[in-house]
Amino acid sequence: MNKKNLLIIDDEPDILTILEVLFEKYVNRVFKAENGLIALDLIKQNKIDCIICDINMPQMSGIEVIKKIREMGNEVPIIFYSAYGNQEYMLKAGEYGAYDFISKPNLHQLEEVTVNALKSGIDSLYDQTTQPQVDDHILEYQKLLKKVDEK
Amino acid sequence: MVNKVLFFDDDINWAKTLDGYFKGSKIDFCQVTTIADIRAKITQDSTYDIVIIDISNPKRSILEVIRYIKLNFPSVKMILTVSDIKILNKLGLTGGALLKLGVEDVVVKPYSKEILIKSINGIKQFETWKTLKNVSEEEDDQEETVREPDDYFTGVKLENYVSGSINVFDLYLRTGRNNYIRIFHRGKKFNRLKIEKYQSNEKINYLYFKTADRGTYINFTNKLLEKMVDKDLNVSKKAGLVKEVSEIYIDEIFTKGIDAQIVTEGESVCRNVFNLIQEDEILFELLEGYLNLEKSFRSHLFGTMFFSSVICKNVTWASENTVEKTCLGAMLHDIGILKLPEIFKTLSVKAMTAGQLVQYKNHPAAGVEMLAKFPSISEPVKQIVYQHHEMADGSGFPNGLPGIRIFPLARIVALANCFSNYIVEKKMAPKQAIHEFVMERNTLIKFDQALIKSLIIGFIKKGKA
Repeated sequence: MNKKNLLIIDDEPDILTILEVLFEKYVNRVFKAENGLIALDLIKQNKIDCIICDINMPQMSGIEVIKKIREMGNEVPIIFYSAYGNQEYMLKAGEYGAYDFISKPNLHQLEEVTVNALKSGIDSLYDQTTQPQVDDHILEYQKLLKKVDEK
Repeated sequence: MVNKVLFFDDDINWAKTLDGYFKGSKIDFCQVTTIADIRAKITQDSTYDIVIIDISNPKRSILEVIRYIKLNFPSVKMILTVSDIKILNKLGLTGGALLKLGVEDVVVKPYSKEILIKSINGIKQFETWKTLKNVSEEEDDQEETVREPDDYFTGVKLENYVSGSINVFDLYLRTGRNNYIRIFHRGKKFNRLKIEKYQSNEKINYLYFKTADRGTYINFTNKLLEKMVDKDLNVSKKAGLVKEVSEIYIDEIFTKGIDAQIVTEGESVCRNVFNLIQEDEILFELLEGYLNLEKSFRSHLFGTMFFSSVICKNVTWASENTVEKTCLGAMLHDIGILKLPEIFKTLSVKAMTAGQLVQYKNHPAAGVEMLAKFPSISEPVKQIVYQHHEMADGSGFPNGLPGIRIFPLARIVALANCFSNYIVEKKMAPKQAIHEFVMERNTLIKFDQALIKSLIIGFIKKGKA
């Protein structure tokens, strides 16, 4: 897990600092961005494994950030960490594939969710193909079902 | 009659909300935002009827002020508000300690104006049954016939009913349509022999309490379940109780609506269900018992929550917090159906006309719209409600999202929802159903394969993969 990189996007410098201190022990590197544009540049230049993103930010909202990231073909897990958000915005964020939503200031929950996202990684969370390869799994299911019968 | 209320809350946003609550009311309402001001205000003016103190941001000095008021102004009623019940435990403020401090009630934030007004007017909102222990140890020897509509009563299976030594609400036996006998009175000693006396004449399957007491039943049973987790009690009793309280909880939210306290209770129900199914024996007792559920809307909601818990148990990335959010989302997933005509509660998708199907496909959005009014419902729960019909192959609704974009917790509930329906439709025992379900390739492609594996593992006794 310590080879992974985390990106934090928030317009409040204090939050960036607090989260950097909180997460530096879990990752190889914590990248910080005060706005969406800086964040997009960082994503282009580095391999990012998980993103923590505010919703209400000047210049570019969290929803625009996730939209741009997905347009780049990047399906990195994004955790929205925000004080409040317009419901319509939130549903939009969900449609772009948000990993989770944590309300500020729940640092403990944010830590738990982020560590889980980093640990599991994108491969175990998402079947990256649009049509799941079911046939590959059926054999494994049959073996498991035999164990169900043995019970 | 309450005329004058002193209120302390250091959350400025919430203080503004309260201002709105009391605007134009007859209550003389004074707000302070520092702890020192509470003491100063009440010392300057001792005519306050009630002091309401928020302890969401607990500090030692708050307890000192509470003690100061109790000692110097014993006629002033005190109500506490708190954002999370756990804070009370952290401060050692359990039922007895609250009474000692002179606290009359506790209200959980964010609360509605109605809840606060009820509390101010002396209608307690917090674990009222706990105070009953001091009321009476007398035998309950009176019985009376009550003629009231069946809708006023909620039944609980006798085999699942667990009582404390004191009845926390009145209990009835049903003798016919709209006819009941009150056999136990609130605050009096519970006597099982009395039930046995009735059992000798006629087989009794259900005990009834007033639907108005449903909140008390849920709170009381949740607390019992918390205590039962580690106890070596009869497995089927625990399993029955968890099923019963979940279904009665579902009734409460779907008929009475949602407020902050009912959300807190929902989280407790979910935690209790999950903690209990960690015990394999309980899980299997529930799995076996699933077929006995009547085919009703609430049974389906319980089933979806139950199978969501089973999947969560075997998913590596699901933390305790994830489980609570997922299970609450599972219980609420179909809340939008309440906005549709009654028939949609029982109508299967296959039997719907094209027009009905269009209406039906709007229920996730309608559900979110309903929940948006409640700040106590977290965003992940709303996302589950909104996306629980999205399918991994992109064939779902409302947005036809591809699997990669579906909210991870909504994927769990989508699978649990489908499997719960499958069991009822096929009239199969869960163990038989899982075999058939896994053979249906066209169904499998609709779900995250890792979650299907987690569901199957739920049927294998030794738990985690």
